[in-house]
Amino acid sequence: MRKRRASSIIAPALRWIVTLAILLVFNSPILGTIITSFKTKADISSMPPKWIFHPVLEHYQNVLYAFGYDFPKFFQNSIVVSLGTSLLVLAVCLPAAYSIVRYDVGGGRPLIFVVSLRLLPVVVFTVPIFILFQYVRLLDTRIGLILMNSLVSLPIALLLLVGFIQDLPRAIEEAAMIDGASTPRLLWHIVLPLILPGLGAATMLTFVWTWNEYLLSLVLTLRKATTVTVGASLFVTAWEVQWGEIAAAITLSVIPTLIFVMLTQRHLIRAISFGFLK
Amino acid sequence: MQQGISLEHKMKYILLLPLAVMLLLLITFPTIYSWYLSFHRAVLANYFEMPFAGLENYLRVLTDSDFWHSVWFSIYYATIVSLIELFLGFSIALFFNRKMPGKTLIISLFLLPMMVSPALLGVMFRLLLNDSVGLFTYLLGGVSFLTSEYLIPVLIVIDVLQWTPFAFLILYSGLQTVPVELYEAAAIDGASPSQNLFYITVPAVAPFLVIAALLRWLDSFKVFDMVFVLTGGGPGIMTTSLSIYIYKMAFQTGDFGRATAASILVLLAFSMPLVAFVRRARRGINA
Repeated sequence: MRKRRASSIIAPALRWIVTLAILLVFNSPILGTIITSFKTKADISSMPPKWIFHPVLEHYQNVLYAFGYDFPKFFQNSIVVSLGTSLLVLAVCLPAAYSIVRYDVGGGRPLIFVVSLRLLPVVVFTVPIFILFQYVRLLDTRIGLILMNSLVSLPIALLLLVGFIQDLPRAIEEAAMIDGASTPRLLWHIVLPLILPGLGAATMLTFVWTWNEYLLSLVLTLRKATTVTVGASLFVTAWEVQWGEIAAAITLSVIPTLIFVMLTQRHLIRAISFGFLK
Repeated sequence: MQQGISLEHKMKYILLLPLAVMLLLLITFPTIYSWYLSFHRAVLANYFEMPFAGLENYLRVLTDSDFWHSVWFSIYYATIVSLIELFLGFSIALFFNRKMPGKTLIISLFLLPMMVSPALLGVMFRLLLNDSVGLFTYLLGGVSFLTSEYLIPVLIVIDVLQWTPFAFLILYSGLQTVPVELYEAAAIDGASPSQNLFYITVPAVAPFLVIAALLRWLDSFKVFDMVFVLTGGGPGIMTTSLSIYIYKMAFQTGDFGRATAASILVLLAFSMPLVAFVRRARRGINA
């Protein structure tokens, strides 16, 4: 009896310790970087590392305001490109998903074709697109990046929206059709509000994926349209010893996606597993 | 009225039009152009006048030892990381598959690493594994990890830290589909926990294990961002994955012909698992 009582305390405690250890280990790179970004230059280079220190914001000030750092521009580019991509992907995928589900155009083939794109390495598109973009003057523009990032995010977004529309009861649309609503009106006024969670999930994933994208930005931008991922890695080469600034730059680049994810955590698990599994 | 009906009739195609146009412009045209480039001597120097080269680019790629090195590196890397990630992801999924307070938050926190840009994760490790200021260097006993001796294990560990959550997510969703009745029946028969695991859980989530393995293997096979930021494919060609090989051939060597020839070889090789995936997906849709 006594033994059982002891284990009923120890087992959950042990479980919590393991849980915390798992979370700590997997998030240690982010935590380590965030800690470094708030240390003074002297504290960063002190070995053994100081775990308790007086946090400073100087590296963030330097990254954002000091002369010679292009970081605000990278940041702005990332925001514009990620938002633009999310909008374009939704605008293309919502009608397409509706057509695929309700009219069964092509008997499932369009969906499978688009989804199989997800498996291809992005690098195989870079060479022809690089040359094509040079001809049509889309190289080093945000629009060029938005177009290519949309292509990368299409598969998951389309899959998600198809799944959500499949779950809609058909009766609502039929009632609206009898009332004489045209398909675009139906999509806008009835389908769209009903699948808002699906739209949210698709937007979230597209935004995060685009924000994190590196290879396209590396190949298709030179200076004007460079995004934070490429900007922050250039930063390392250019300012190799300014570790505080580098840590602040990475933290700034990572935080938006993390906030986005934590805000939508309720839908996150469903969205990701759904998007990849269905 | 007549017109209205025929417009409604065409609506299903009109709705698909934006998607079709986008795919046509960004997939069909570049693919055709890739084939064209791969049969021509397309290097930066003769950009505007590319002589026909026949199979020369393909032969040069297929006889290039660097190409085969990158193929083997990618296969080796993909196989090791997906095995580790599957094992860890499954173990953690089993561990989290119980009632816990605050579970949604815990799982969201566990999923954070896969929401970090792989390239930025690479930069983070340049900082954390730095010889003089790296926190990890200190915690792990002051070893210089960014040297050729440790480089591949380091890349594997970073990949595992970032993508185990992804394998976890798929397998965790899989665990939710296992009916509780199976375990209740097994309990009546006096099954041990390990019997439960190997005779009920593993067979029930087997399809999810296959999907997780397939996606993780293909995704890590085409790895670029994190490795490129950390090592640039070096030292020498040691950590040059196939994606890095193609990138370097195109944008550092400037040989678009050979880069597209290599790309097309990759596409052909990928078409096999792709067909398998498509068959599977089609079955899923029809069901």
